[in-house]
Amino acid sequence: MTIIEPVASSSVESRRMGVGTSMLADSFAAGVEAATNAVHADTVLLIIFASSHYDLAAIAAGARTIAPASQTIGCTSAGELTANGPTDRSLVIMAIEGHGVSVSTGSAVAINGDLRTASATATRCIEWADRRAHSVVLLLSDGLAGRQQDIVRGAYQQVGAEYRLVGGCASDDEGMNQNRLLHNGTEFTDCVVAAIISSDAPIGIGVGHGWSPVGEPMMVTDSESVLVRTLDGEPALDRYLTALDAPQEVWDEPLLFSEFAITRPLGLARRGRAEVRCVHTADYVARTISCYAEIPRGAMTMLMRGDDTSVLDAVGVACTEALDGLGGARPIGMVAFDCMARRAVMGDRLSEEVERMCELAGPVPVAGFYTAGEIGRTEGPNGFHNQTLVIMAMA
Amino acid sequence: MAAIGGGIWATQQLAEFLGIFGEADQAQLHERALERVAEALDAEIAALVAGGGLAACLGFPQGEAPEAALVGFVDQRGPIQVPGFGPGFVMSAAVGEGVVPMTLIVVRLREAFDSNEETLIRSMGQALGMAQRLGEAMEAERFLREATEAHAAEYQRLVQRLGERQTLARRLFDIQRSISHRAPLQEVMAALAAGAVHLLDADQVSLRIQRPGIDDEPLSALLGPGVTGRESFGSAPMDSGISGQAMVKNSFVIVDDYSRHPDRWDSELSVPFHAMAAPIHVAGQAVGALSVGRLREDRPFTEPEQDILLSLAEYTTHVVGDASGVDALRESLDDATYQARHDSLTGLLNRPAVIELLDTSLSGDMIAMPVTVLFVDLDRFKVINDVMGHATGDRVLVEVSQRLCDTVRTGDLVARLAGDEFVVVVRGLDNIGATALAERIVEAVAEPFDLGHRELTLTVSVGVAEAHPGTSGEQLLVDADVAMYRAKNKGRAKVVRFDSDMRHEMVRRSDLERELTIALKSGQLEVHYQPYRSLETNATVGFEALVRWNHPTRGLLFPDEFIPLAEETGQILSIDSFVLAEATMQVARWQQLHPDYQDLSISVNLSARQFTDDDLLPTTRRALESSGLEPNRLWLEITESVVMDETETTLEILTALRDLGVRLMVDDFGTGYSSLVYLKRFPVHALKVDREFVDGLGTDHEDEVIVTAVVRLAEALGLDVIAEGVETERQLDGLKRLGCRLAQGFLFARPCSAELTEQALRAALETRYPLGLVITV
Repeated sequence: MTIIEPVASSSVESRRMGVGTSMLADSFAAGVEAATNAVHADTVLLIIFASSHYDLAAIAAGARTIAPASQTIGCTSAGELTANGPTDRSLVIMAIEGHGVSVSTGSAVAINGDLRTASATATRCIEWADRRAHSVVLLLSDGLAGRQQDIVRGAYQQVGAEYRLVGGCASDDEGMNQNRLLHNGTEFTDCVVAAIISSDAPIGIGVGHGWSPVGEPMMVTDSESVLVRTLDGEPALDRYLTALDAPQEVWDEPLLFSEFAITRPLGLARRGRAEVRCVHTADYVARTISCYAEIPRGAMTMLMRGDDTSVLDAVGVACTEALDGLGGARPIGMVAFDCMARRAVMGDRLSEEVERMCELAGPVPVAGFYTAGEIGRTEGPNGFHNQTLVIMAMA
Repeated sequence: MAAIGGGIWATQQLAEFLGIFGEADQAQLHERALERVAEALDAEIAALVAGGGLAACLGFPQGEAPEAALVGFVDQRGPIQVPGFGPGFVMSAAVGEGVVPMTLIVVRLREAFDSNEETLIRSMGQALGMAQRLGEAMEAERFLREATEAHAAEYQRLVQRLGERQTLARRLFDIQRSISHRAPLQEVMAALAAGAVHLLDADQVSLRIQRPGIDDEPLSALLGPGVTGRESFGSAPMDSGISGQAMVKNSFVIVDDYSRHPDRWDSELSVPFHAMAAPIHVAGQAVGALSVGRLREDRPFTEPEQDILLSLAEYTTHVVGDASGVDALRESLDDATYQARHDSLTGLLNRPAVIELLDTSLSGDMIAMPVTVLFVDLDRFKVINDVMGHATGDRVLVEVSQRLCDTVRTGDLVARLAGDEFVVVVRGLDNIGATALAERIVEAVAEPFDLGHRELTLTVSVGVAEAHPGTSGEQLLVDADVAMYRAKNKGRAKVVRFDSDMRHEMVRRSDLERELTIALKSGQLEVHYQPYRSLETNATVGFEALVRWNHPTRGLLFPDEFIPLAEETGQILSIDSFVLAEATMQVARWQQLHPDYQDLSISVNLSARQFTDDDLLPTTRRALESSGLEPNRLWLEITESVVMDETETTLEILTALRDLGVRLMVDDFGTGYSSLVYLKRFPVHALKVDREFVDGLGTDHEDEVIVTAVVRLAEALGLDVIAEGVETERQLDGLKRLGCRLAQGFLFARPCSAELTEQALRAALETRYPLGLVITV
């Protein structure tokens, strides 16, 4: 395994990012091992992404034996990724270090699925945050809790347009049973964790998905949050499958639906673009479909088309945008939030994804995880994505 | 996105926007509407301005929206400067036509709004106004119904109103579908007309447009119940009828009793009784109108129905394209929300804001780094305010707040709770770190303040408390406050960390306070008496009254166990009054026992609090009158600190007491910052030499010198001297040798109850021996 050495920024203030991984079975020991490689000195934040079989609190306890003064955030994932490529049943730790960067963290549980309030509460750590020249709010959320779009809404409501948002939603290795999140040594479910990262050097955020709309638009004539009842006045399931010309076995067999739908998202008509919405389940009795994020009543949707080539091309889009955001400064590391559904589309070419990132960014530490929803807001108030790759690059 | 073009995109966004009216309740309506407006337009900022203030805002951190600047954007369109962001673009639109004018403000930072987007914003404003009015009407009707127990018909109307909002959205969805499926404009217009018939329950609807340079002939749709479709506009010119008026005037027109109206009806349909029309625009120019009519006289169009027509007209405008608006720029700064959370003098967060923040960071949902509160209180700040005036006091507070901000770490929070109370909230520091920070604060404030004409040195006392699981923000402040008080008690410029014992102590003191209140009412307080003798005659010449608390469970309590608390709580005033009344009564009684006792005196201790209370003089007068005691037999003992304060009020009270005939004695003389000046200035009659100096008589040369000096001083000023705490023959000999004439102490008698004292007095009469019982209590 190649160990990527921590890269220090060229400025006097020596910001660094370091990455470490482990596949040890014991959570505490794995935390120690990964942190040993990630941590150099003056660590302000440890970001931990781990397979769902790990105990996040034990990982944090282990990691903090190496970096005791650091804050910790993290979540369970649907696979982890580093510059060495994607892995499963592992953990990855990204350390953000040095004197030119500071971090303020918060978390809140979404009571009754109220992610908006939870996100607004978690991001109140803005009150304690250092005001350096460049700031982002890193958000981690439970992909199974509430209306995911509300994470962005709650945070935006709290911090306003000045702060860009980046992050992703936890998964449990695609088990869809229970996701867990970590904040300063404690493990939560149904939770939003926020970290305000403030740096003296630029932080870039890039978003790309590689999907494009096809066919006639469909009007969402009845929906409630993520549940779509009718499209163009017809039962949503029937309209969706008809529009896709779905094979007969998908019409007949509900169990095949998710596998079929994961590579056939819908697009929400937005100003000059389409926001991708992943369709994940269907009710074959009520004839409805459910998405990972809200599909508003009255919205126009389209079928979206993409393949391994187009979604891999999105890596270049996201990575370039993130690196451009550094204003010419040399990156010291990148954090990637990559939709788990993209794995299914990329198939055998999955490893090309990180290779492309490293081609563009050079030999820098990369840590990321496969997500159940991605957050990337740079302009306007929108920023919740599906089937998307979001990259945060730091200089 | 290539698949959806500008105009269609805008109409679709409006349809989606209308969707929220079926979901959001009235309370959330503004917030959700702004969110959807901003999302639809990729606009960073959206706000609602009403009555010259900000009704709702999105895009700024909570509580930090620049209200004045946003209010200044009303009626603006085009490039602007956005506070905190720099250049941007604004578009504003009226929100309905309610009683209080409301305006929707939308700001995008990087790109100007195109004409479709501007029309969309206007339509969203119209739709929001309509939703609001429907909501308000429903609220009003609900209230009316509840208030008057109205019958079913009213309820039915309420339900119907609720339906109107949802029906409008549904109808527009239908129309939207025809647009999204690329139906010809003529079909879309027919759908719009059908929507108007349904929504407005109209007998007839006409929609007619002619786009310059596009349409050779007017496009029209004419509908209504019973309309066959063969009817037409005939040869009526575009500017005829109510539709023509709306187009020419470019405004909404409504007519009752159309038959009497000078304009002819604009189609071959029957002339309605009630009619209204709204213009349709293309590129900012009125190119047609949407009109509706009702035949029956008893069915005029209501205000909500007028709103619906306006919304439909706006919606129709989208279909055919539009642009219009005005330009201007205004900007200023203000922020009422900011002020609500901040202290106006120092600009720091205020008490409610800091409690809110603490509660959030300490809530069970939120686990973070250790949270510690430093409660910072200026020592003797009241003196600065009283002596130097409030303007100087304010200046000092501002300077202190600045020093606090300069001393704390980046990210720590400084707030002003009230007056001279500040708190610093820190995260991530352990006990040692927090205490070190508190000590740095003490040092920073101790640096002299330059007030221009003079320098001032101040100190602060700091209490430090760390949050534990379950601690509320309020509780954490209380803990830090308790620690701060402890610091003050230890002397100035001290730092004390809170521990749970202090909380127990606080609880104990709270219990004690309650019990003391009961004790005062239920006669648990007693006065004990300690005699003082003439060292010349060896006879008892008087008594010092000393209070005791006969506690029901803890037995007899001495003053040091409850007087300090009573002084803090103010109960000392009641205690002093009780002792004064009881002791004067008792001594007056003993004076009656025998002529030898008729000159007996009584001395009563007064607390410093008495000199800030208006009741001292009347209370004393009452005690003398009730007991019949001669005023010159009452000695009031005051502490050095009372006379040292040297305020005019104190002087006035002491003079009034002297005028009453009462004699005044300075207690514990020599322990404070004694000043000969006050002995000259104040009407003092006697000095009491503290036991501390009496202790060393015969063994400590320094004490002998001090007592000698006091006795000589008293002689020179014509004052009496009483030595207290005499316990040994050696001390007694020393006092006699120095010429001290009065003394009290265990050598003669311990303090004892009135009953035992009286027994002793009676016994002394029999033996003719000086009162010298030694009673152990």
